[in-house]
Amino acid sequence: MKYKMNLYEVYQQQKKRSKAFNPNVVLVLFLLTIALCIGATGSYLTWMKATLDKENIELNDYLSKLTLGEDYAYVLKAQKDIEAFERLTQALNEVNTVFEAKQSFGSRQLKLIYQLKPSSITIDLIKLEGAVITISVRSKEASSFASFVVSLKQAGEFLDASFPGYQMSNGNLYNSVISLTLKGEY
Amino acid sequence: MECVVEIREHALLFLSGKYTRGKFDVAHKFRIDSDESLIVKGDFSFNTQLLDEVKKQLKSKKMKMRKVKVIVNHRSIVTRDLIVPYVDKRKMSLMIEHEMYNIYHLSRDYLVDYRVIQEQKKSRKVKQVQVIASAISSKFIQSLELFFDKNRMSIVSIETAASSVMNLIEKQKVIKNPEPSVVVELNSSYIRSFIYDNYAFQIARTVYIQEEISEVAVDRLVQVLDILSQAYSGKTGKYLKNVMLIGKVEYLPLLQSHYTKESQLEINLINLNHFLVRKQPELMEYASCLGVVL
Repeated sequence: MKYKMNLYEVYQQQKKRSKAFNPNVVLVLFLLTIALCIGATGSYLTWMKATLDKENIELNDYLSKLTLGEDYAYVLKAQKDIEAFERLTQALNEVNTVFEAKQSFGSRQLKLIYQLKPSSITIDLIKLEGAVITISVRSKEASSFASFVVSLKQAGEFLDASFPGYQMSNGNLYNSVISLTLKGEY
Repeated sequence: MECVVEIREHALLFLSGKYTRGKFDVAHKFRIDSDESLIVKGDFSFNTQLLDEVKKQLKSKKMKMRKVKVIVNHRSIVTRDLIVPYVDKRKMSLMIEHEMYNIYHLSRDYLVDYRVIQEQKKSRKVKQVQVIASAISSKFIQSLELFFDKNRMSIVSIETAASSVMNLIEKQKVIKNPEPSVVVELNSSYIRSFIYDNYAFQIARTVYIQEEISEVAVDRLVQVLDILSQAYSGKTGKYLKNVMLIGKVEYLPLLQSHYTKESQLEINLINLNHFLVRKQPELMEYASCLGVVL
């Protein structure tokens, strides 16, 4: 608790404070602050420049390295390969679409061929070329070829069934080739 | 050795002496009156004539004190008692300064200081402090510094007359009974009164007068006492019972003649015999100076 009054002490304290806030002192402090700010900014910019220069040198070094060209060629080749693979994949996808849509040649067609074959005909060879099944046959009766082709056509399993004719060999045996076209899109 | 200078509107009062073991031995005292006002537009105004007079008096009394305590007894120094919450010293200074600036609309040139009169308890938890605060312009202090520099003296402290008289009243235990009492400092230029009730300070008021004739001055004092008594009884229901007089004590018989025995107002002089080494009735006019040396 303060039990003494002294206005002179208050006056001296205020005087001290006002001395501390002397305009000249304030100006000097202000100028010092500005100088410090400029110095700090200059130092920062110098440091930044040094850092950027270092980075620039590193980048130039990196770019000037020989391996970079090789790496670039490798990347280009890889890119071409990727493009080729993409094209192949696209083609395969198209083929797959065809394969999915086409009718396949299997045991059902073979079974049908053997079921419809007249007993007088002997099958020597069955060959599949694309969608065409070529059957080499022989018989003692020339007319059996035509009835066999008609039966195959009527079965509805094949798109087309034909034979160009027949040939005689070994006196009493006739040879012919029957062509069957499978159904489906190729 | 203590040296106190009281500055009034038209006078300078010098008092020097030694204060030891609760007693004050007056070495020198003198008064310099001036026809012109010493305080003009809130500034201490002095001329070479006054300076010469002071130097002459100091030389004749062989007073060689270099440090002086100053009392300003003038309306240019604003004084007021305040009741503020109990807070730490730094906050209290700021709060009182703020209060004074707000109450009197003071400019930033004014400096504020205070001293605690007493602590009060508003409730069990809430503590308050009654203080006497004063504000003075720094320009006034600068002019005082200049004046004392020219007399090869330096200021130690500056206090208001009201604060120093209150210090004297409290330290010398002037109030002897718990009944409402008023201590009156009567002078030709002002009447200052301090009301105490149950030994506790209540209010202080100053009325400035310009009465050289004793009868007129006493008449004014009687009016002031009547107003104070009525105002205090209206507020508290108690009438003032004692009047303790300091200042122009020669007016005492004249003042006593105004009051009959039925008035129940007892008028006495303040007894400072136990405080002063040598009895000097005229020292009563130096009450403010005596309050500072305590």
